[in-house]
Amino acid sequence: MGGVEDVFTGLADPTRRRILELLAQKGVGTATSLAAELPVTRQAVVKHLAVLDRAGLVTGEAVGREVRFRVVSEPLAVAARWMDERVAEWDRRLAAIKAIAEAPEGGSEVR
Amino acid sequence: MGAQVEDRIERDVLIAAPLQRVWDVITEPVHMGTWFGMPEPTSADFRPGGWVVFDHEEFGEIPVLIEEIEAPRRFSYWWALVSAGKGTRPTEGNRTLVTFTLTEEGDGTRLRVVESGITQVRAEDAELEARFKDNTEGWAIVTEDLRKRVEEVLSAAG
Repeated sequence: MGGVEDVFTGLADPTRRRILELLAQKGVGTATSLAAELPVTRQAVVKHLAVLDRAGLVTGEAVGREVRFRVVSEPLAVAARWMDERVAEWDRRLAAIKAIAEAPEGGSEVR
Repeated sequence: MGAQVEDRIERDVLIAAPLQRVWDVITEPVHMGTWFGMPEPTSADFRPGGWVVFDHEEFGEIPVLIEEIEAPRRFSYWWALVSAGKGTRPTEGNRTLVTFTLTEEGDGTRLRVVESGITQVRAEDAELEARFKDNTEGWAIVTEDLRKRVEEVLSAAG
């Protein structure tokens, strides 16, 4: 059962994140069509797509000689939701720090 | 935010208080407990490589590893995902790094926080954590006054 890449490993590389963006925008892409829009070689794109595929973030379908890839939205949505919650938590903590720091000091403690 | 996932979270806030005051709020154990939403730490060794341990009602023991302290401008620490289990120490694969930086801005202080290493965690831990937090109260504010102030600040921020 080897070869399954973690979703976040898939997302950890900026080129891979860009590949996902491009696939999401266009609906489908091949290593060739993606490489045309990226500052990396087609060979590098093939490797990135393999990682994304193992992570379950894209799925490929062989058509003739090329493989057409699409984004699989569910794992990305789970990761994005986790990120959104963390962002919201930080906003709440920063608001709490601000509220404490700006509160008039009670004067009961001397620093 | 859509389906964008970056490797780090960056947020900041402008605080109408002097730098030293903000520094105290983020680094003194008594305050740290308050804005984290839990009791004062059970132990605190505020030096690089030192541990600060919180005992949270819902999440259990949360140990935090201090990475750097450069008073009064920079403070960073590692912590593990909640889903890693109660009392789990932050180690590679289950932790993120939180870095606070403080800079003077006018009469106030710009407080910036970066949580990095997001994509170094294991996705199944992240998913467990998201589900765990859906089912719990989330953060707890110690006093009603503080809660109201925080809500005012949040609604003013829009």
